[in-house]
Amino acid sequence: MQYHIMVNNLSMSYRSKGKEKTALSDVTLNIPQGEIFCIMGSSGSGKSTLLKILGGIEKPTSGTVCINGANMADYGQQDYDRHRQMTVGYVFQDFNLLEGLTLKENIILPLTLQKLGETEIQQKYADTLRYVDVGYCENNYPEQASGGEQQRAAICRAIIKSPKLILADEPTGSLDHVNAKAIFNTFMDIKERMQTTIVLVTHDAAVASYCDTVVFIENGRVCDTLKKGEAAQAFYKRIVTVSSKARGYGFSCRSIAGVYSGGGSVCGSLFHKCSLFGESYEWLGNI
Amino acid sequence: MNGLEISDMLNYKKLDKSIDHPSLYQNIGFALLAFGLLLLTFRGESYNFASALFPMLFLTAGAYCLTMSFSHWFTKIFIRSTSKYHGNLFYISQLRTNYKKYAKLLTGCTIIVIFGLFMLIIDVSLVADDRDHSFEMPYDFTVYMDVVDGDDLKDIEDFESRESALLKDTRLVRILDGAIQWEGQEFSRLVHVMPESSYFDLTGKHLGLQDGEIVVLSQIDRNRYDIGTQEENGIEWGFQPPGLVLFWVGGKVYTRTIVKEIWEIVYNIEDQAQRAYIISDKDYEGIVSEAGYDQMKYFISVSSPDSLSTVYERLQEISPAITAKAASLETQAQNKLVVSVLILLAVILLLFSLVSLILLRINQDISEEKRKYSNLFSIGYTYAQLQEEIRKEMATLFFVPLVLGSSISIMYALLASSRTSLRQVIVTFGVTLLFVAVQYGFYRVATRTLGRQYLN
Repeated sequence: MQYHIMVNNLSMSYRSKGKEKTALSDVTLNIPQGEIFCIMGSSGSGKSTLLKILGGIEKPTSGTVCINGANMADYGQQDYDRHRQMTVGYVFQDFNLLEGLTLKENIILPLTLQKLGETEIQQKYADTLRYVDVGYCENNYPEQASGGEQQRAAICRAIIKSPKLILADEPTGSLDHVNAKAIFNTFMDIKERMQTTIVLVTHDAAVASYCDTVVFIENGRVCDTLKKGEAAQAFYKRIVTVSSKARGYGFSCRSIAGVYSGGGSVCGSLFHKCSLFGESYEWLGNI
Repeated sequence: MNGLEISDMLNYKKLDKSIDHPSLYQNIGFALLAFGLLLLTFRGESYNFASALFPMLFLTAGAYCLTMSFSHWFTKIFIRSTSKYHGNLFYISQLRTNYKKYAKLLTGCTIIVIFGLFMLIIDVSLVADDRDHSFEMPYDFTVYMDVVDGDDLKDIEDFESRESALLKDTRLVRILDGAIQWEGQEFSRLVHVMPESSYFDLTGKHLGLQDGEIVVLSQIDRNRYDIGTQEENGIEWGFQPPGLVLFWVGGKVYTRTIVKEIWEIVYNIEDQAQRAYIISDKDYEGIVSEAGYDQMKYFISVSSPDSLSTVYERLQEISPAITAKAASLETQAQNKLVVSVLILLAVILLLFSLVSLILLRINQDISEEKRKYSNLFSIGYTYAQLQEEIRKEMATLFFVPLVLGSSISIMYALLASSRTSLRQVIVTFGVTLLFVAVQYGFYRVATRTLGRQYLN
């Protein structure tokens, strides 16, 4: 199989308040081209650090990351700059749009860094709107747009440079389930039409259930990997089970709370049915 | 509700704390600046408190309006050309948000620069002014003689015959101490009252005064100082208008008529603001007889500076009340030094308060800005591009008040004076350059420090 990203024995540690802390330890992953690859894990488990390393924002302490066969360890500063400017599109949980720019200005911002001409910028902007339509509110400032519109604009900003890789750090974390679903559908569409590899970090089991691969990271280590080849319900069952084992009792209460339709408490084992994107799942027992 | 959801409303921050009508502020600002400039340029020859104050008020108010609407009009510069617009998108975002919040800071800093720089220009002009002001005291000594009798006159005669080799010129002049009403207070302002003959003794000029008439003598050189004057009934005056005036001498108040004012340095006075009333000899004799005493001032010029101490010792025998020109000039120089040091300290304090204000404001938003820069890095900015953005932001904070404030200070310093000398121009621009250099130093330090904080 052709892998887009190969991570081998990746470790990352840093000093905080005089103490050595390990963010990632001996992580090995292979991410195929054009796949939606999900990373789950509790807060502080190292998910975002992994994303930052893939994005060329941080450099690992040891191990290698190869993207399209090129080892990032061999990158110079210019290669890192090019990697962030051309290869990677970043989507954040809280959108991180510049509040002083309209949605359109925010979207074209990465192109201006590449010093493209006005015609080319307008052309790419028009192309981007074919994937994600924010044209109707393009002249609104972020504070005038809804959360969903802001996140769609943030996705436009990430894909306008036609990146080979999109890194999304909890992209649905600040959205309600309707907007979360819409955003995830957008990712699916981008994956299909642009053949872009999408690596996303999420706490949302519903979102994870739609990804091609789900890996769980705890304490900087990969503790499990799931493939979507399994039957949907079984796949979801494993996400819930593994997540609950990994995270403890409070697993993704917030995200499930937004989607389940059965009765009972949110965090416990009392409810019997839940609904994910219109599909009903039998609850699988206590978690 | 603009499509806002509950979660959006909960997180909604009112970012725009700026003025409501920036265009109005901008237009008023430009109008006030232009009007202040017009007042400065076309104020004519006259110079007084109002002609100095009003242009400065208009210019400062103009600066206030322009800095309050700064982000509004400054952004327009960048959106005119597409390449500038694309190349400065983040900076435009900062102008639209941060600099609206920073408007009051920029206004405060601009006003500090206006006054700080103007004070520094004045200070350096004061220190650099090495012109010889000795002409303002034409005699080396002044002996004050309150009650003159025959013995005093004999002492003076003896002194002059004995020391004739050491003396260049002497004048014994009748001058009474009097007072006038000023600014509503009762006879608090001192004036000298002298007969026309004394004026003739000192200058050799006749005034042809009638009884009851006064000529006001202002001992100020109009070629060197700006004096605000007005005209009334074809008579130019700067101190008191022509017409009836009351003055006090020896416990009595007299009413006379001012007919003229002359500007001429005639004899030694301690305070240049002190005027002399010249009246007819007959009038003077009447006042002396009513007062029951006469006062005289004895002015002496020596033939050589070497004889100053000898002459001073001899003069002590006539009267102990003596003022020496050399001592007065030295006191003036010391006073000038003290004043200039105090002004310099005030300017330094202003400069540090300016920088402190800027750094304090930056520090308040540092975590938010750091996060912003970190996100920019994630979406593709290079270190060099981020450093450039930091430079632009710091340049705005440090140099917008400087450019606006120093322009106003320079205009004021050069145009407020009707006789702008090359020396004044050099001092003004030299001091401005110095101010800019210091500010540039702070800007470099701030840029480097913030670069490290934001980008690490």
